[in-house]
Amino acid sequence: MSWFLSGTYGFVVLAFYFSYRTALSPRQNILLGIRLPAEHLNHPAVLSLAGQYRMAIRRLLWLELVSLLLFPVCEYLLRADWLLLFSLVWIIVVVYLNQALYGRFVGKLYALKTNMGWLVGQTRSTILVDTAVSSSRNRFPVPLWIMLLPVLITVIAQAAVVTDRLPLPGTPDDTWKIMTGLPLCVHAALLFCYYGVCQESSRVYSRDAGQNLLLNRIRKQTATRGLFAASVVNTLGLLLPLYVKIQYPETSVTFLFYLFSIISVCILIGTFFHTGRKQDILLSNGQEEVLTDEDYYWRKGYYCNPNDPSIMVSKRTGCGMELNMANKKGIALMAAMAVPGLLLVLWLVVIPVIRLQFTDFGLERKEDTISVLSPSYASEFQLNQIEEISLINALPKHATRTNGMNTGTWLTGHFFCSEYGNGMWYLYTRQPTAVLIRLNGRHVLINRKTEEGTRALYEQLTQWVEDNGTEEHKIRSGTDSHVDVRAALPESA
Amino acid sequence: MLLQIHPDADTPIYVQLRNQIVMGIGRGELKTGERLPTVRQMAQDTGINTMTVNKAYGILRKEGFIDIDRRHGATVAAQTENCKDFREKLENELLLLVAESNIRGVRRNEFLELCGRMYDQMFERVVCPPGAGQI
Repeated sequence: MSWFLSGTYGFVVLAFYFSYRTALSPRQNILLGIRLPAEHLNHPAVLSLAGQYRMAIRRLLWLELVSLLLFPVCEYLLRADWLLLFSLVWIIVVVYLNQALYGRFVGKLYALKTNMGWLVGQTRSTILVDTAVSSSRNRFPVPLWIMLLPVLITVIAQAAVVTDRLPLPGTPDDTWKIMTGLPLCVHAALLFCYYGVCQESSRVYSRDAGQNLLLNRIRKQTATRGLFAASVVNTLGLLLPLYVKIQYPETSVTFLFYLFSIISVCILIGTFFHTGRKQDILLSNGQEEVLTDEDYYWRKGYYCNPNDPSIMVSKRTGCGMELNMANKKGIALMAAMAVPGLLLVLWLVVIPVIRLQFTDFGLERKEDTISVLSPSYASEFQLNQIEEISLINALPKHATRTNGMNTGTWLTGHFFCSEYGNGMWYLYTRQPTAVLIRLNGRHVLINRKTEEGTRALYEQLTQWVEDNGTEEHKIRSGTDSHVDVRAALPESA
Repeated sequence: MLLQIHPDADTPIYVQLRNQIVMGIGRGELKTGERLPTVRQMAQDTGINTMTVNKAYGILRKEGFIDIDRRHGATVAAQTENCKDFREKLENELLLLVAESNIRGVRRNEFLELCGRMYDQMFERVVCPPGAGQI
């Protein structure tokens, strides 16, 4: 588990490195996020700063790669459960360190630029508008109704799955309901990006209106076309697996979901890369005049311009777009999307994992209702629903998590295994003994941290069953002992 | 046409916007019937409040420089020559400028030469830079 995570995060670290490294390749005279006069790009002070930055990101790369070894150490010293929390903290630290390092050098270069008086164009406070571009700005992006078509199809498909209108074979229905929700989340993110691209202010590249029109059209048209293509692929990524599952029930289609998600991301990256390249070619062929110096708003390493109504702007380093941190509307929208996700992760994963470390599963009886005590996926069942209670000495080896949590040490929630079918599991995996409670068409599998505790749970449950009027039921002791409740129940029951 | 707004300047933004558009029309960079950005488009691209843009457009419409249509937005209006009201306004403003020039020591010839140069400069821009402000 930890080696898999280390390998995956290794790619993340390399992606960060290569992304931040692009700051060293001057694009439209922008080096390290700061626009310099062409004649000063090779100034000794600038080259020295670029060299320092190159060394710093290289050192950070090695530091991050070495830190990946902490994952196996964490798994060895603590438990696999803590890996998830450790991963979250690790990602936050890595993102912060990369951005902080980049921001520090951008700040240094900006200070150098202002000290040397290398102002490009007019002051930052000058607002430039090309009336020809501004009056055509709504014609550049793909229309909203076209953008909403794939979203609508996804919503219809999602509704069909949730309301069980599709003849989906197999039992883990919850998995389908959750997995079909994923494309909707991706659509929400794509629509947010679409809104950001449409809202972005038109840019004035030169005094030539024709060039301004062309470059702005490329920027908005290509970006929204890319977003639309990603949206279509995302919808196909839902429809195709559904079709395959209905036609070929035995085929596993999980990989299709991931495949299409990866294709969507690749389309987006490709689109922004292609747009940037096309703009660079056009600008290198034509005469770009830098009319205003906006570096003041980029001096912290991110864009923060309170005078710009744009929610998102094209990145200066790497490809894609980034938020205008001074735009409250953009920040609020982003927060509205990110905060529920973070809270969900905290509420459904982080808090239960922490609570699981300090608690143990248990059963509680309130009249005829038995409640399973668990920090997550707690459930209830009626005593008269019990068909059989068994004590098993080995946990099932192969199971599908349909809607649950697998922390490495703990399994909680909805699981499916061919042996027992669908059921709710509350298992401490280091302890093989468990109580299997068969109910009407489903089951509950539960154990405690110790074998004694599990046996006590089993005895307690059988006692409750007996108290409920089934004293004559046979109780077989020893391995795989079980109480066959149904067999002993009176005919009327 | 390229509009340049300086939010930090003493001149109010709506006046700057109005003046820039008038200069554009005067220089021929904005042709009769040419579309101007709508109030909303202009506000989105400049970050200026829609009310400010609306005020500038209102003044321009009142002065007859632009037409505002609900369906097509703002367009440059056909300019009428020798408008009586304008001549009066021009005379009043010139009178004030002549008086001020006299106080500041700018003599008649110098004043007229300056006026002539400014007038020529205004229309030179249309001829000289190829494609400047032309679509």
